[in-house]
Amino acid sequence: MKHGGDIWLGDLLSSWQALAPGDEATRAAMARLLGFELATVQPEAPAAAPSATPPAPPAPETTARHPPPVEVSPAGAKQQYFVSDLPRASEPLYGRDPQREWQAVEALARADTATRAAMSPPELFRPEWARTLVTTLAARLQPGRAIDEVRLVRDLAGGHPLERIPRLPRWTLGLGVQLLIDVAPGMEPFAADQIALSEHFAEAVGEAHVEEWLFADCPLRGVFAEADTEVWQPPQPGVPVIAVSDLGLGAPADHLARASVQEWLELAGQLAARGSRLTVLSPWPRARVPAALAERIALVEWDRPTSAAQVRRLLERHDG
Amino acid sequence: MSTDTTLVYTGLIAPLANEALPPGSGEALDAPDRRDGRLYDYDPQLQMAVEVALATGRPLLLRGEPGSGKSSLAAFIARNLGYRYYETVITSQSSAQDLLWKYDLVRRLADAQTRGAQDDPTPLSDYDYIEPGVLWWVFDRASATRRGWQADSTCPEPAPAGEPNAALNATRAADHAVVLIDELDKADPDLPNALLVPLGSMAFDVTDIRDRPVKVALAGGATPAEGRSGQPMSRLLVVITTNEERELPPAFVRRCIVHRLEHPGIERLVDIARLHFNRPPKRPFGEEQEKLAREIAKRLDTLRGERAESRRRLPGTAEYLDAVRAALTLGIGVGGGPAWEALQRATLLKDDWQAT
Repeated sequence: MKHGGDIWLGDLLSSWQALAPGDEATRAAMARLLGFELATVQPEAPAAAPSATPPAPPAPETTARHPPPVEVSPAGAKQQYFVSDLPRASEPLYGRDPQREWQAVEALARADTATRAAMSPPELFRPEWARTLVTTLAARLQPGRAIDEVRLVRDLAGGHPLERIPRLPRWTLGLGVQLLIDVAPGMEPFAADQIALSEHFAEAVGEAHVEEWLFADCPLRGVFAEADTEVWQPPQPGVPVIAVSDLGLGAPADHLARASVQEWLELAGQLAARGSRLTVLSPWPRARVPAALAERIALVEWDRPTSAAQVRRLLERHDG
Repeated sequence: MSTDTTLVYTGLIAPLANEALPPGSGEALDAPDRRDGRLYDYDPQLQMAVEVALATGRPLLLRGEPGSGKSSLAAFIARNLGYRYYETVITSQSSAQDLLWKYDLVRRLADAQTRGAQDDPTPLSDYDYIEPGVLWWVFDRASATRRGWQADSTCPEPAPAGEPNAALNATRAADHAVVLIDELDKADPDLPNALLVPLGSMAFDVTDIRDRPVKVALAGGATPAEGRSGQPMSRLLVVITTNEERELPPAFVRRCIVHRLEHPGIERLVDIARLHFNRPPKRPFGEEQEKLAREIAKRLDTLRGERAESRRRLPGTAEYLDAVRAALTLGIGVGGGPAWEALQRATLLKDDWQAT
């Protein structure tokens, strides 16, 4: 608290000077408390004792600093390829043994965490904005405790009876959020994004304050957490609801069960009657959403250019 | 949280010590959630975290499950160091301003209307409507008592503000304080961010007083306290706790010394029970009591294992102490039929017992 900035090297030196750590383990423990990780430095080899015989000339630099040369296969050596014993496409389908086909393919080793992270596609929201965006999406404009002095003075000056003290509104996460995740066919490509998004909400709003349900096509048809489908229940009045859905836009042409505009409007209406706001987070651009729907619900594009400021402006309009 | 690693350093403060409880006492000392700072079971890592916070002047952010002893630590340190002690519990309704000061605008409005009706020309003084927050008391107790009023103010001196924890703090060092900001994760994200400047600079401006500028800063100038080794140490320790229900803003965490209180193992739980319930000669913590405490610790360990798999609430040290206290007082043994089942439901399982 001697300065307002982040913890820096000076804090580490101050603690070492004040507490005089006596060994490397204690120094490292103090560093960890401050968020530093000490690098291990290999001590230099001790100088060789003087010898009567002159030292051998140093090895050529190339052998000391460069990796050993790559072994090259002798010319003409046969390259080993994996040859599948699966039946060719030209083979007739009948007569195939599906069990044999599965067994013929070696299971790929599971990628480790680092590899998975490196291979996974980038998140739909910009990672550095994700936390703020999620916080903004889950927040509601509620009367705060600070008094709205301007309104108060205006009412008094106008001679209006003061029925209640006007309060300035403030954004709060205190109500929690109901998170509805669409697992209809059109959202399958975004399954991993949905999991990451759910984790973002749990971190930002608090796991205990996020009520999460899965649904297919429209929550009014039922929701589920595991296997059994239940009737969707609206949250407590005022709690914001966020549906992560493509609104049926991404469903294959033969997916006839996609929800209608009317169903979504019915959902928004039920929530509005209870003072809750419905926000739909959609991976499709706003222009593709039917105008009747886009006008009535808070529609946020789940995409890189979306910023917290845009979302806040949108939600301010819907929260009034 | 015992460790095999021995930490070797020159401490700024003496090892934190517990205060012997009066023999056979059943008074408020037995309060389940101790805030008197007399008892605390700590380990060397925690003591070093406190020392590093004092050495660097940074807030100490304590993480850990509910009931792991985060909130009890600050009072324990304050008593050991002889620092004044203040605390505030954060809720979803808290704002950063609450920690600095509050201005009673409604009372002022009512007073203005009353005076207007009585044609009283005496101007109202802002000082009368200022209530210092916990950080004001921590930074400058004298200024907080006067509500920011100074001799060159044009307004009359206001009635002194009531200091929190006044009786205890009267016996403590005037310019040294420990403050507990409890359960910061309950607040909206704006609150930690709004605390960055007051906690970073140890100063803030009181903007509701129109008489003259009022700046609150750490009293006693820049002179630090001196540790046992003669090295400087902070006169102020801010202890912040989080149950990690929400992540705190990274900018805030980067400014803190961070320590996590891990759940203690079975033997350490027994040690904690002994520390709390050993009241010789009337109520000694003998072999029989130790056996009971160990059995409950084992039961707690099993329950935690079962519930961790299903991601249910994990009973912690606080629940364990409740169970041991009740079992000792009521003479109920583990596995003792319906009485034990009822005790376990009430103290360890709580709302989740039906699911077990």
